[in-house]
Amino acid sequence: MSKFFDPVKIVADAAGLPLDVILDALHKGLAQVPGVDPDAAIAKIMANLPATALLEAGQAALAELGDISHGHLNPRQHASDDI
Amino acid sequence: MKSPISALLAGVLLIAVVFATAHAQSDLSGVMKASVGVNGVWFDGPDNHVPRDIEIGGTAAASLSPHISAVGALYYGFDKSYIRWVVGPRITATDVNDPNFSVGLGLSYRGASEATLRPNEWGPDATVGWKPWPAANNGMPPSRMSKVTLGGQGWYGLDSKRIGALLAVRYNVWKQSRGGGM
Repeated sequence: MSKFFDPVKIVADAAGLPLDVILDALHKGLAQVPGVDPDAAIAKIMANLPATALLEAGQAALAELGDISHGHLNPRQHASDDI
Repeated sequence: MKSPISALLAGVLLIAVVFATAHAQSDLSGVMKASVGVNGVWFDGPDNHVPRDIEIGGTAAASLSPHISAVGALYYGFDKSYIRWVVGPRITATDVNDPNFSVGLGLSYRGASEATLRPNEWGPDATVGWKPWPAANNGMPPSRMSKVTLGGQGWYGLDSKRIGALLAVRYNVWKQSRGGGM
């Protein structure tokens, strides 16, 4: 994952704290919850945060530019395109 | 880009090149659609004499790939009698296979006939669209209500540093069919 879009880094920057401190605190906090694997939980949080979704959409769009430039269109119907 | 006319021309030229290339090499079915509708719109700015208005107008969109679309719109503001237009590319940030709900992130060029709504400028925008009465997937012709889309949009002007927002109702009036018809 690009560090530019890393949501935990964004939180760390906003708090004025080093990234390691935020991650360590998050890890320790999750480790206190019975039945929770903190590593898996952090990975799941990262995968589901909006910033991750936006990054994936951006990467997919960049990959599709090649097809468009060659004239190969693959349309979809998006409700937001009506607005 | 300094000149709004040159920016607009560059955008139109880019879209024309894409379509010309695509038309020469592939099927355009399912790419384009057009809608008409109504907006409730709010504009930011201390010296803005058009803080809010009701707009009517139309939108056109071309889906070029699962994530990338080109969109354009032309609106008329009822209360202050202005014309406003928007054109630009948009990336769909949600499930691209869901035709009934999506969020799009764009970089649009916005212009207006009303001086207080200028400068004509580029700016990022975020758009949400939702079809509350989706078409039934049973082979029957789509109902009229399935052509209705509700949505909202917010934007930021890179030059003016002002924001705007709208709530919208759209009715799809034309869609290029997958079968090649209109």
